[in-house]
Amino acid sequence: MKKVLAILIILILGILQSTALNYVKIFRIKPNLLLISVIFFSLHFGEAKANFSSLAGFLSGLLEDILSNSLIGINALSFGLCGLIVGVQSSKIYKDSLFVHSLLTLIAALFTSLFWYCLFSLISESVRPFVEYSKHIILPASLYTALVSPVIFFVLSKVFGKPHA
Amino acid sequence: MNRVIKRRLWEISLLLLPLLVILIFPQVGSWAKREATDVLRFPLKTFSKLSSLSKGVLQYRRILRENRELREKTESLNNQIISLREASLENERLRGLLSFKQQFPYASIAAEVIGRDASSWMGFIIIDRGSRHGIKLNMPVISTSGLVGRVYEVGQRTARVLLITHPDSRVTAILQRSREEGVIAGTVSGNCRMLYLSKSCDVNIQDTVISSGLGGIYPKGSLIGKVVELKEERGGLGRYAEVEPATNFYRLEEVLIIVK
Repeated sequence: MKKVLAILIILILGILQSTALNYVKIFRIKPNLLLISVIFFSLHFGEAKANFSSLAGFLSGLLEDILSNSLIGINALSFGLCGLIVGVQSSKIYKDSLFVHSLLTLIAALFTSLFWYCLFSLISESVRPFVEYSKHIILPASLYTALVSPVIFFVLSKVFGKPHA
Repeated sequence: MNRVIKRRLWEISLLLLPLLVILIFPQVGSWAKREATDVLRFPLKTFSKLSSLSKGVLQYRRILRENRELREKTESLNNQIISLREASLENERLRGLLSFKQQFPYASIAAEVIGRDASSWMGFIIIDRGSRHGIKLNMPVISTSGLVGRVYEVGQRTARVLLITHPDSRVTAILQRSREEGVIAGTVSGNCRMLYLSKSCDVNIQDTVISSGLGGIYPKGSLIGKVVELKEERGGLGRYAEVEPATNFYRLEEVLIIVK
């Protein structure tokens, strides 16, 4: 039942990200709620259910691919990897700290952004200047996502309970 | 231990599968995206409407102030319209004398904006009209404020519009005052630049930029924006202008798709 609810929440967060979240942009940047939810579910379901964490990551990434200008599969892969890695290592992560949540989210955001940039640059015909993208999108978006993550963690922990130790 | 490693490798392989699919068959990914967007159009439209309504409640004071400012602006514009009408009538007479061909207004389809790019990467919007409503690839899209972009992906019931602020967007343009030509390109930071201006070209801050009609996609005379800054290109061979778009893309709720 919790897994079904998690997937429903992923869908709602994806729709929110494409609609309402545009009103909370700062300098054209908005937080990535889908990625925050992947980190939360990976910590919550733990190592024993790491396969669900990777599935949740995969579905979140797929939804992001559909609702963005990305090629289908790029975010699905990177989010899935995040879910798998965090899920497998969750027993070694201290889960009761807001700082840890933000740091984990920041690392995941940087990883997925750089992964997307590298793969998209390889596959696409367009040239993207890396320094400009880092300055205007990768770094600010990752920081904003990390800053917002404690709020989303708080909301999700009310529904699912705190991530297991 | 071996079983655990095998299971993880198996999970990673499953994750790699979609990547292989998109590398070998990119059309499959595009088709899946179009169909999925069509399926998601109802929740997108619902959430879009709900967030518009709540925006009105939360931003009441700002909207009241804006309303006052817009009323004052409307009065001033009404006065300008009267003088412009005179100029227009004279223009018509002169055109008739010189036997210029008249431009006919284009037919258009109205659409609602039901979603935007879920990532912070690039600029596009999702509209609630698709091929079933007569939308085709590369149709230009405008708003009451000015040029918005062009249709770059069409599903049966939805379509995606590439904004002029997208880094891949290119619009041939001219300065309304001096008729100097250039190309409007989107930037990573979500603005526009008018490129390929010579060092000696006649361009000033606040000059109005309109589409030139060259290239065959965008109609001639669509308002793009105003010049806000002039800069020299690297190497010093030419100049480019930072252009503030006339359309506020973050408040766009309805657009018109021009049917040629």
